[in-house]
Amino acid sequence: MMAVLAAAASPSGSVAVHVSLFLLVSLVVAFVTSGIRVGNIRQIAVETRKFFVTIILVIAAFAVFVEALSWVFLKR
Amino acid sequence: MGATQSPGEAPAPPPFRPGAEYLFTAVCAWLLPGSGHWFLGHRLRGAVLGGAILGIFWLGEAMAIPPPESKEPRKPLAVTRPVHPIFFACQVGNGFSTLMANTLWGAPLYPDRGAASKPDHHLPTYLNLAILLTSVSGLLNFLLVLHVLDPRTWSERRASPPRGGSP
Repeated sequence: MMAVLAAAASPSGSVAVHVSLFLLVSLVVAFVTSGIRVGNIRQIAVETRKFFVTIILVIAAFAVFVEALSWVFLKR
Repeated sequence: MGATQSPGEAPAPPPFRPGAEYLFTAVCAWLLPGSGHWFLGHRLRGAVLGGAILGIFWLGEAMAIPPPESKEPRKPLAVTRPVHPIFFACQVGNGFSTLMANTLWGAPLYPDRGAASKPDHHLPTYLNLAILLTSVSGLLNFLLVLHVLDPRTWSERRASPPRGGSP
């Protein structure tokens, strides 16, 4: 348990925790919003997957854009 | 005009009028995520959506407990109206859970001295994620409450009894 906490507190572990929790939150948002809009379980699964992929792609594109700006203007 | 009804056409449903049941269901939906859908007859949907929302809320609260080496009391710090009222406005969508967390553990750890305050190095490592999770769960429950408040949800319920229909 302590080893897991220590690994999570390290810089690389911290990034992994942030990314995995970001994915979890995105998945829950996609699931709940789909569950509200459609009633059929199969439709909910399809809508959740589509919405989740869209969120991930949009945020990933935004992250690449911010990283590019950082590299261009801050040289790091 | 279109007000005349042709023979063989089903009579138009009476207009929706909110009553005590509507108000009760909306308040329940706010206090306990998923309970509004449960009362509307969508029991599986209410249980699963409510479980997901409460799950990320309490996961966030668990992540906001200070580490053992801290001298501060080991209580969750994610929900506290005096310290971050704007996030609290999002978190309060969770109703009872948020109000309970704020009442039990919401007092500030120390008085705010503005610029004279010293940095606290013993705050929980993932306090930022904890606040994110609790805020997102509160906002998601606002969506559930809005769905319960929507007259179309009640019209659908009257048109087709939900048990055995949609989950």
